[in-house]
Amino acid sequence: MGLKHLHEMLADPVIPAAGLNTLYFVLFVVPVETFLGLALAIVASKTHRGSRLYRTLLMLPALLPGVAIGAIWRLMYDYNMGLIDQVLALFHISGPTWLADPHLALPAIMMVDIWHWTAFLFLIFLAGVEGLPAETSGAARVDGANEFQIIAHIWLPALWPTILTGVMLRLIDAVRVFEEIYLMTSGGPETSTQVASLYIYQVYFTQFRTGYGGFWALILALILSIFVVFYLLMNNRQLREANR
Amino acid sequence: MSARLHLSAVLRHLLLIVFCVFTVIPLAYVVSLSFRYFRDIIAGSFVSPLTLSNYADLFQSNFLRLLLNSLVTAAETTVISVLNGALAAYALARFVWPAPWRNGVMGWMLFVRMLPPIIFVGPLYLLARNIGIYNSPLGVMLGHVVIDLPFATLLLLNFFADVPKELEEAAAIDRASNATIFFRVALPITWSGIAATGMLAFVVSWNEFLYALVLTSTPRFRQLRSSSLRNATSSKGSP
Repeated sequence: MGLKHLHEMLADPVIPAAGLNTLYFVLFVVPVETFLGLALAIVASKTHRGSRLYRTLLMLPALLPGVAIGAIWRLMYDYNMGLIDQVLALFHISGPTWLADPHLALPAIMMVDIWHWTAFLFLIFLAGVEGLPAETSGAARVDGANEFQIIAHIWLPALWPTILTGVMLRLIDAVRVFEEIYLMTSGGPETSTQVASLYIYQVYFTQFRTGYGGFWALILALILSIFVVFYLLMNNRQLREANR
Repeated sequence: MSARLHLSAVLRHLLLIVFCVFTVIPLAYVVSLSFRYFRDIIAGSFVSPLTLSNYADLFQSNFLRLLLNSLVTAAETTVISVLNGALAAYALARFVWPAPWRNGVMGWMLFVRMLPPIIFVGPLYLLARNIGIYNSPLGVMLGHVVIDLPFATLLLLNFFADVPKELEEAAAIDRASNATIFFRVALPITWSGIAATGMLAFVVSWNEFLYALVLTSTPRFRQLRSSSLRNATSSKGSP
């Protein structure tokens, strides 16, 4: 039975595309979100005037459901009524049809994910930055360190566990991406935005290949469980070190 | 020195403002769309008369009904998850278990919580079909409990672990049963934690889309997928 699904897999042209897209997606989106979230958290923690407004606005996307975000950005990218192409039209540039262009669709969706989840990492990192003791950076400043040295040599090492946790959480969660792609492109054009979650959904519910869908769900679970187990062990070690 | 400091402050605010604008523009744009006529939007005119007709359309559709469905499902999910989660969390936090059991249960709950929901979609779908709750609010609600119950249990575990043991021991000396200790001592103390957990569990169910999509078949969802303007404001689609 399992062999049958292996044969199906080899004959399935979508699998390489879905696998690669998922990989590109995760490998691009997570580092960018981490960098932006960390930079914004550090800058926001150093800024006092208007900080409450900045923080509220920056964390806003993390509170919205994925369906809402998919719907919003589908409108944003629309050729006729989307804000992006309308603004380009003001400068007499005919904007691309973002979600219908095989080369632009995946980057456009990555952009949406960055918009959505940078907010989440910003919140996590902000909590980490605010938890840093003021004494060490004060002492370094007395010793003549400048702001960049303090951030690079004192803040970042102290934030390392928080950063690692945030990155692992996002790595595991980025593979979930479904609603946004389902609403914006449904995996198209052709297979250019096909990803793991969406493809399993389609195998089940538009191709009605229940066994094959289960096979892929199992494989995805196995791959992800490596990361999940690693995350759990890492957390466990941190807890034990914190308790000691 | 002070000029440099000044410059860095300007840069900081500039960076934050740029990102806030980036965050807010899509939201503001969609809100502005909701007050404009379709023909003006298609024409690409940025200055156009405002209207409430989109909202009138929205409330004449079955939007309120869908909203009520979402609310009821989320509320039921929350109650079931928090009630069962509280019992499970209390048991895990207070009773003596063999370590492998305890770690096994907790590890499994974390594991289920972290895997993408698509993995459970196939079995849930078949199960719902076979026991006849496919396309019913009950099915979606049970699907959401699968996500919410481990989530609530793990959160509540921390709150129960923080209850001072001495209080419960004092009650035990007064011959209170385990149930009495749970309902009269542990629950009232952790009340704020339970409320917070309930709120988060509610939001998880409210935001969840995949299970609602898979466990129902009515064409309501197709409304959501059409790119009509209405959906910009009613972007939440639940059973």
